[in-house]
Amino acid sequence: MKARIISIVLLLGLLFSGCTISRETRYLIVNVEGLEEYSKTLQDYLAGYEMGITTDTIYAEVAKGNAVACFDVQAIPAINQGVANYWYPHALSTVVIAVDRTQTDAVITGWKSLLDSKEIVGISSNSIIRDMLVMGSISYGLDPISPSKDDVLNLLKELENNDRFMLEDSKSPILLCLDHEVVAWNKAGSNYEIIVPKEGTLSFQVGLLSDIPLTIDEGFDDALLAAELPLANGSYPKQYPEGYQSAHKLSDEDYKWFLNVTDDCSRDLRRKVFKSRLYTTADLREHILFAIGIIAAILLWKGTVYHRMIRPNVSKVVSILCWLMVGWIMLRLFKYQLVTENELSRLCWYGYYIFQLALPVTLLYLTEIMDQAEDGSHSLNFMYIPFTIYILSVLLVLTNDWHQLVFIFDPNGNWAKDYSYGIGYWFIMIFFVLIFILAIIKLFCKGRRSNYVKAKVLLLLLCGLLFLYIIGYIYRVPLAWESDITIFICVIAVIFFETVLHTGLIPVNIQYQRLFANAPIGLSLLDDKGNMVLSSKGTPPISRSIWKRLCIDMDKPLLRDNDTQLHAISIHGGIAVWQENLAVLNRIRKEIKEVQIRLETANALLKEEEEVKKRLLQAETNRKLFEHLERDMESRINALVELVDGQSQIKQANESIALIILCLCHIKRRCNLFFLACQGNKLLGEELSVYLDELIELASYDGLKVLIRCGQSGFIGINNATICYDFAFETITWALKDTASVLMGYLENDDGCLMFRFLPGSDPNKWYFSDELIAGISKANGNIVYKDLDDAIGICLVLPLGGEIDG
Amino acid sequence: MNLLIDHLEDCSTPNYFSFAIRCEVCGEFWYSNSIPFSKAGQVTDYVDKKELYDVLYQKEKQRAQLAAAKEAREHFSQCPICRRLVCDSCFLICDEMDMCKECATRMKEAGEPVIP
Ligand SMILES: [Zn+2]
Ligand SMILES: [Zn+2]
Repeated sequence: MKARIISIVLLLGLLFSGCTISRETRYLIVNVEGLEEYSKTLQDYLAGYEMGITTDTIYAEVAKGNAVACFDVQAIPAINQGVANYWYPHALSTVVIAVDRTQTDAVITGWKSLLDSKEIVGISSNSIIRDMLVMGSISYGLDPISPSKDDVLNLLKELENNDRFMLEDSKSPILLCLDHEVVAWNKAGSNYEIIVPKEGTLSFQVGLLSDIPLTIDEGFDDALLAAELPLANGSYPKQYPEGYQSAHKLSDEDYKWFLNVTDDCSRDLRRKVFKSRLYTTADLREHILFAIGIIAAILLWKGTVYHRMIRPNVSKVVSILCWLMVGWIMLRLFKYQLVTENELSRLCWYGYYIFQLALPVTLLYLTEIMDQAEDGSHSLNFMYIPFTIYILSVLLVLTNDWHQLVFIFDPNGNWAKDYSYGIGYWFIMIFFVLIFILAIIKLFCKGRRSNYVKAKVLLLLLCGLLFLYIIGYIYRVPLAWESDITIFICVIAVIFFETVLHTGLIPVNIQYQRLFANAPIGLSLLDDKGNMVLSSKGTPPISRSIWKRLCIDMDKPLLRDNDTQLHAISIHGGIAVWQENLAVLNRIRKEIKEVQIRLETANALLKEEEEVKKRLLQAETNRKLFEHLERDMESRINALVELVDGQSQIKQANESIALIILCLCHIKRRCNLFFLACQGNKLLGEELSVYLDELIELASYDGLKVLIRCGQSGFIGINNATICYDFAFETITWALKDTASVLMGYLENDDGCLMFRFLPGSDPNKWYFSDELIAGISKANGNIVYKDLDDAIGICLVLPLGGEIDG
Repeated sequence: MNLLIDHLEDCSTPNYFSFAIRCEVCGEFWYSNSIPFSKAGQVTDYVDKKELYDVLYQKEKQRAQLAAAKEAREHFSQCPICRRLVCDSCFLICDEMDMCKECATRMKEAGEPVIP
């Protein structure tokens, strides 16, 4: 499709006007439809110029120093704007109605009469400038005083409503065209009637536009007439009907309304007359603005996605998708800038498929990497298959000119519209629809836990819409065919991905920042240069020195201060750092230490106290012991003292010495027994026997023969042993005092009682045992019994054992 | 310099040397650039070699400590009033005399920290 509008073109012309290039060969540019014959005639009369065609605008060519054949409506505004310097009008073109008399005999007289006939009315030309000429002529015809665009559009709309209006159609019975074209057709054998509308029409001058003065050789006017072209001065060749003359020619003031009426005529014809392209852009200016808007929207969306994506590889793929769409739109925009349709624009058309086919493959790749570990490259091997198919498909499309397997058309015809699809196209389509369906299925399988049912339905609807659209486009359903496939697919793709992101089919974290801000562990994310990317609320920044140290050794946590420990792990593109609060731990540690110190001090105090007490106790015990001992020994020592004092009165020294020794021995042994009693020990019967033997031996010094048999073996309680010892001592003492010669004693254990019998040689009835002994015996529930034997009196100590004797 | 060396805390591992200094005002640690031990990761079974490595380790550590102290000089200053070692964030440049944050508060002096 060709879309050019004069104002943009003028602007482009202005841009190029400043750079005139001088060079050897100059061209005569013939780009305007309907001026071929004029140019052909001209080239013999314009020395130094070669025929040429161009993809640039005519104004760009003028700027290059070339001469351009065009209509006055193209030339005069350019001259007025200073884009071109010279305008040489030569011929004249009048917009007329040509009626093909081989097809119809309808009576046509003027513009309005077109409505009355039932035949189809067509504009035969393909270019916008020609549409403009027709529209300008009709508007002038309908209202010569103040021509208006609405009148023309209403007329054409009414025709279109009855399906009686065609653009770019040369087969219709009624054509709106230029008079010299009709003459040429008739000369070639057609039978057209030229009708000059009775309401009026316009005649346009045809000439040369140039930046430099031109010299036209003489005889050019005649040559034009010979070529059946009317002259600018109003002379007509003889082939024209009799009385034929030029219509109204535009004056300088007329160009203004003409441009107003015909401005945006391409868009108006498509949108208002044909009601097509209502949903897409209808002319170049709208194309550019709309495409820029869409590109901006896609890039903006890409930016938002980049921030929401958790995983860098996923966001990378999404941004590839975005760039693919942007690339596609840019290429399409570039193609629209091309004025003529040639190999380059065809290559652009093929180039669309580089982007278009990459979209489903990228989507499949995206679904494939979604649930993989970031560094995992496993199981992506099968992606080579779609990639290979993609490469092959693109190559197949790009080389279509040689084999026509994908698109079938006539390269010299109107291939941009008249093409059909070859077998290659269907193969490619099937492959990529399969890839797309596979990607959608994978997406849904992986996101089946997501709960957004409505959004999933929306996704399916979008897919369905996309398929319907593509099918509609392939089969040229007007709604789809007339719309812009690139923009449509891109917009659908963006909506599709946005829905996918919201359903969570592709994991994004919209709450990411909030999660981070509220993380209680003081989490920070740093990029690979140590800059803070995200951090929890209240987390102080990580200083450069700490970051460096963390990077060197992540395993070893380090202290930020005494109460904060930092841990780090490596993540993709940086590190994550979190802090552990050691304050509580430190406090507890400190408390434990304090308690320990206090305990240790208390312990030491207690120990000291115990020792002091022990020492005190010992002293007290000793004191008590000695007191006791002293008390215990007092009577005995007194007795001893008396004995020693009274030694002079005692007649026999031997006796008294023996008594003294006996007393000393008794005191010594009693001390022994006293200490044993204090210790709570018991005394062996044998030991008591040794004590008694000692007494016996001492007694023997005074000539007393004592014989004591100790029949008690095993332990005797100290108390009993003491009583027995004292009893033996006092008995021996008395026996000594009585100067007896023999004393026999027998200690035995009889019937639970300890019996200590003595058979003294004298009468024991005169003996007095000490009070201490008597008290001790009665305390032990024992007694002293005298027994009158035949020739002597026995004395017997009876002590109940009462558990005092152990084995 | 000696003051800095005295304050350096050894955070080295068998593989690298690293030293830290604690700011006595804010309590935050500063860590020196870690310098790897030249024989890090090399295990030897020979006693002689092990001893050699130990000597080398001590030697390199000493050098690293000196380097750390030199590096720390760029980040720490001694407050002329309280004589404490403070980090650049806590050391204020005041009109008449630079001093630490706490001394500045106490003396009601205003100033800009070396590193804001
Ligand atoms: Zn500090
Ligand atoms: Zn200070």
